[in-house]
Amino acid sequence: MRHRVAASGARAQEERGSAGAHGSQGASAPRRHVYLVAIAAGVALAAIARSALPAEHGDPFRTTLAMLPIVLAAAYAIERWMRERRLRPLAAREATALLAGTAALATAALGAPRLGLAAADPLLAVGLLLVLAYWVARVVVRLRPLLGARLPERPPAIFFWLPFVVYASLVPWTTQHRPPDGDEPYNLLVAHSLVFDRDANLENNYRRGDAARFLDRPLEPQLGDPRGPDGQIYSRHNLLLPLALALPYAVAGHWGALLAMAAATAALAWATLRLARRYFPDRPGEVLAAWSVFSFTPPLLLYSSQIWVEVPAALLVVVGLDRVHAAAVGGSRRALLGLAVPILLLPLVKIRLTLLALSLLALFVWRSVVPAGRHRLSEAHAEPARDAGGGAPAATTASENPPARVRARVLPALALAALLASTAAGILVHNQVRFGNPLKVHSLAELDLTTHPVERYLRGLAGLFFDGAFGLFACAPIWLVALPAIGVLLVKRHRLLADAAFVALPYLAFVAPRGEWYGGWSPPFRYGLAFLPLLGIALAQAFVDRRRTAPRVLCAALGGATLVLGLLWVSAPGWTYNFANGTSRVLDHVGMHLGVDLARLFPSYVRPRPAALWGPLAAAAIAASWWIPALRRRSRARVTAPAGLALGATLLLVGAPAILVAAARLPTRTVEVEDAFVAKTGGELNPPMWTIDRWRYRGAWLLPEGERIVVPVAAGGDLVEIEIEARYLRRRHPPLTLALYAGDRPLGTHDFEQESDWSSMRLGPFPWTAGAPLVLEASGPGEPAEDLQRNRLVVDRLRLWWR
Amino acid sequence: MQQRRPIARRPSAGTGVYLTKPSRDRPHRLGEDAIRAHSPGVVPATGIASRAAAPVGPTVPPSPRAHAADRAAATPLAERIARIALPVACAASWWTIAALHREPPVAAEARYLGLLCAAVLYAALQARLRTGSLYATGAVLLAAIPWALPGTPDRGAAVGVLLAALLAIAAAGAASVDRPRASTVCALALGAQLLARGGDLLSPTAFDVIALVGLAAAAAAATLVLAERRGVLAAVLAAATAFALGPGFTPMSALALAVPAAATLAADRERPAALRTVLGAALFLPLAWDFERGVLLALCAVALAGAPWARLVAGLAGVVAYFAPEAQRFAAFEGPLWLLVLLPIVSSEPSRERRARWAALAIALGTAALSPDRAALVAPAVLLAATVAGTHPVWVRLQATWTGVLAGTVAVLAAYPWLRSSPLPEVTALLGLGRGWQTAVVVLLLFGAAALASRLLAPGERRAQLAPRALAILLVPLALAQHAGTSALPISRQPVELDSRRAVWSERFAEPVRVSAITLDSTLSNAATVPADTLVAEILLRTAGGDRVLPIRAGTDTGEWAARRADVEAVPGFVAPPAFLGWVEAGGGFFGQRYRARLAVEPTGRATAIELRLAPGIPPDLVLTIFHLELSR
Repeated sequence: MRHRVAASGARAQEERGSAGAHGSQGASAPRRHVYLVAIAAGVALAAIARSALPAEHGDPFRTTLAMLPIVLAAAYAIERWMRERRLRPLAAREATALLAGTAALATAALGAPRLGLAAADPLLAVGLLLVLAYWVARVVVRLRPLLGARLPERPPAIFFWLPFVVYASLVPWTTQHRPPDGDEPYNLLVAHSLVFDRDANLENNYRRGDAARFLDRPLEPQLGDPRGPDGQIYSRHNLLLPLALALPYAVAGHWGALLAMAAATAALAWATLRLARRYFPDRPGEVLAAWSVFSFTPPLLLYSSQIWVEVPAALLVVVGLDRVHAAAVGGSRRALLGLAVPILLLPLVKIRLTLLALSLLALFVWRSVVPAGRHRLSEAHAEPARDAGGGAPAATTASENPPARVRARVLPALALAALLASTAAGILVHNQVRFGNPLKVHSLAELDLTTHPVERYLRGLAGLFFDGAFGLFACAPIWLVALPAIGVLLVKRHRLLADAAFVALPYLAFVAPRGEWYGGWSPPFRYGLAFLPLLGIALAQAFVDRRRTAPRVLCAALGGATLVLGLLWVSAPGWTYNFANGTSRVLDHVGMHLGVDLARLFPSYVRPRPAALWGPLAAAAIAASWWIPALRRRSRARVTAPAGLALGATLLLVGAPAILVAAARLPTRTVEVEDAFVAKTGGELNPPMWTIDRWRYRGAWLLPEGERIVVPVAAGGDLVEIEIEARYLRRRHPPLTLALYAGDRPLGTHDFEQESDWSSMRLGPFPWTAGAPLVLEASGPGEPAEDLQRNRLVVDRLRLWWR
Repeated sequence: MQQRRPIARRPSAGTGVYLTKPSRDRPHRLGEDAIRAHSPGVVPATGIASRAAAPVGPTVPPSPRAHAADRAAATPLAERIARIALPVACAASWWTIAALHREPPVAAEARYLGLLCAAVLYAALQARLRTGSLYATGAVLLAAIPWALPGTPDRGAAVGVLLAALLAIAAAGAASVDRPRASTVCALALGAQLLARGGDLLSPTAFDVIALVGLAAAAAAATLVLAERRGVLAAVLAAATAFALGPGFTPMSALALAVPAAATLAADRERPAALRTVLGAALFLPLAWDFERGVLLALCAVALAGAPWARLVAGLAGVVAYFAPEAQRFAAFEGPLWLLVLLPIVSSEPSRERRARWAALAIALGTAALSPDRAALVAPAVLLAATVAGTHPVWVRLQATWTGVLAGTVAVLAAYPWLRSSPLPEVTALLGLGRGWQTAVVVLLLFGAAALASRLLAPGERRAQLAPRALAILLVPLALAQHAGTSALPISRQPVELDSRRAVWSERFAEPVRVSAITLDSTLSNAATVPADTLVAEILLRTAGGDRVLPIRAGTDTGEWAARRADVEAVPGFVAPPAFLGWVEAGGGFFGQRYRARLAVEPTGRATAIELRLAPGIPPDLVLTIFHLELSR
């Protein structure tokens, strides 16, 4: 199959007369001015559209539609570039359909308020996204001949421009629907301060409300931000990223910064394709498929229009890895300088990224210095034998001289180590002098990995991948196909895994046991993003088997789920931000409308539950099913590509409702009453939603007198004992009575008299009627004078013991 | 009299059923023959083409059994399983949500939409030889809708648009082959029918289902006959035009296709005399169904398949109808104008079919003079479409695009939740084409501008590719220019209810907003017995120039939500305005309705506040629900 892919690539290249890997030879001479004219026309039209489009009342499409001419001009330029290189053009009918679809959707978007549909905006955004996705898919397929039979040394620039156009086109929509959040506004504010104040002191910026330039809410300093002796307020974040964003911010405000981040993400995509040739040089087709998954699916797609240090970190890691291999092969000065850049910059981007720099240095030593040393040793052993044989030693050049070669490898390694050490020391000294703490806002205790129990490591490591809210696979299930690929690579002892282990393991060992292993208030897989490119390259191995039945069906099913989730994440950007409460926005949304505790079937490592085991088990099952033997080729039941896609889609469409039915039918045993599927007439979340490190507390619901909680219950027997974990907050003298009902039928009551800490009480057994909801009603003997006088019960969870 | 045209059929390697291989091997696009014919020195080889361009070859009558066997050989078992499994799984996704949803109306709607999705998706899948990634993606998206969207009518709109897009892709694929397969045409007709007439599937009787499927099958069969006799382009235009006027394949639109098709067969001298006699007699069967429409259909059939003098007689009959005593002579001009709106290509066609075209226009004139029902125009429209030869490739592409836009938009507007009974005028208004005679003029100007733009911007054959894009681009500003901007949207997502307990709702604007009109989406509850034109509420608009009061009247501006319920419909004197949106009632038995009123504010002013209040004296249990309140500049 490998030969077939390679041969087809080569044949296609020959047919198109492009002998070079870049596909430029044999093509008609590119006329650059046409691209410039197209883009300039797009920009001019966008400017006109921006001023001419009616500023509708809260119109969410105005900026997106104003950007449309630029996107169309860029698409035209890309298509023209491809045509000039004799790549297959987009069919005229497809082009017309895409244009007509865009025109229709844009027109509808401008009239969206008049459609009378509550969800018209996201629906139209999904429509525009589908048009974009279709075009990108068609472009990627047609770019295949550019990679030739063997991956080129430097991929053509189109592999930068295509992702950049996609990321940049998302910026207006995502920014309008999700103003900068998490660490983003602080990075922007530092950039603002660097541009306008020429300093990093944010005190005056907070005071003046400079954040209003890019934020629709007031911005406060983050808790624990370092303070100066004269009242200065500094950001906990390093200066390198804001420094890099300062120029684009100065030119175009926060739009400039966002577009710069889109460019950095596109550069990451390009660099990842370049790095792939170090591992799968003869698999251009598979690498292209893997690259498209990496570049155009979450989580990278989500981070492309946001300001986090993770994207630059991933870019530096990828560049560093590429240079490690370049240095190991040739040992050129340029490669070493290329390696020095990420090693120098990573600690400056974020102090925890020093680990990644250290990993890169260690990998360089292992790949470059150790082999040279081994070679030297083996030659040293061979030399006496040669002398004994009486043969005269051959004349050696300086470069072939083994000690010189070892020296040539060791000295750069020492220089790089010195560079890293001096950078780290400089940072520590600067922090000590400036903020009185060498680690700025962190402590040395955080670096002691031995203080964390193993359970925290397991939670963090599993959670990064399998968590239902923050994990990679919940965010984009297509990444599950990386697991069988990793299995194959392990069996093959592929060098990719060794490199990944060098880069990722020390970093994961530091990140995984942290309380905020999930990344805090950020889109999913934040801490994993630095090594996501390596996982993306590993996907190429998965696509080697793409023509077999099981992989084809699984890829279709997981790809379908990823498409739906990707559309959701982009059209409703806020949905990628989850609270660390064991559930997610999506699960809450479905559970709330259906009255089903769907979250209990999804793994959570924030609030561990039995389903936490399901993630790894399901992943193992997927990995195992990858090797289900293919149906016989001549069989009538042969699964063609279209049939595979359809069967995969069917599998997805059957599987998702099956999970839902299971959640509705499996007996209810534990109920987290604060979850969205539980209906409440009143009360509030306890502790409040925005409590710092809320995951440290019991998530509960504060139930005042006069209010009720209605829990949908799937019966598991005729009798039930109900265990309530709660604490009583007394506000006035009369006791609080908690009455339990099965639907309308009273079950029993319990009086709370003395204020208590968390305690557990077991009531029942009660006879139970299948289908009835469990109702908890708090009441008192009389109506209090004011709301604050109402007694309250804080209910954490219920356990139901069925008989 | 028409001579039977020899059909080009090339026996395939297997059974000799396929005329040519599918599109992947021999891509052939709509109007390609015309493009070739337009190029000097190129002889058209196969395809949709004009009758004159048809090639000569041996005729191999298709055998259904052989066809099925050939198709089975072409379609692997796994794919055939997938084609059934995919719609079933899609329906299962909807029905699972329906079974668990807390709100009965949403659950009822999910049951209905699950059925609709499965039926139309199945039809779309059957229309293609290969399932393809687009259909798998479409099915996944369809099934994802009930998970993502909590309730009506967003889900219905999303489903309608997505299904229409899937059918359009299937139709585009079918149009790209020389001669579409019978099964493809049937599947497409059925899918389009289910989408446009999907309202009939809410609580259908066996008769409803049989009628839906039977009418689609009749239309498909007639289209195939017309394709054989008049060329694929003419047949597709005739079918799509009938569909757009229907909307869908109603008895009238199906007969408008079937009767001319039967007439062309009856006029074929190579057919057995007995068959021709039976078909000739069948032409007059519609007289028993509806005499006036039967006469109209017979006239069109005669004009299409008859001798030149018969066309003259048919045209004269139309003129006579125009001068009938009770005819609306001024309004009658809308008939031919609508035909021009639907088929502007005839203005560029050669005069070969001049008599038939004049007959069609005369019949349209007479029909519109005697009846305001636009659906009756379907017969002359089909007659006119059947005369299209497709000689100018640019106009062929423009007409194909235009017909696609019209048919697609009609399908969406006729489908749930819009449920329009006569969507074509709304489509033209939506596209900013104006009303009445303006529409025809604007459409002709649009075609001219698109053709001119393609001539100026592209050389040779690329003109035909560019023209539809130019048309699409021209339509956007036109559509936008017709719609005034929104200056404020006080009620949009959260409905407001006014009743005897809360009779007033108001909002003050932060800044004065300019208002020339107010758009109000609302319903009434418990208003079945409220007499038509009763004042039920008022909008009070506070402006610098004084207060403006806009009345809201039952039966005109708003109406009873359950207007389609049998007991409400039976109330003497009950009137409801045309519905803007529908939704499935909790029991799943009928569609609830929401009404849209556009109230002009004259003279225009700058409003500082708006107030809605129930009128005094209305029944105490009456409830006015406002879903959408928009102030336009």
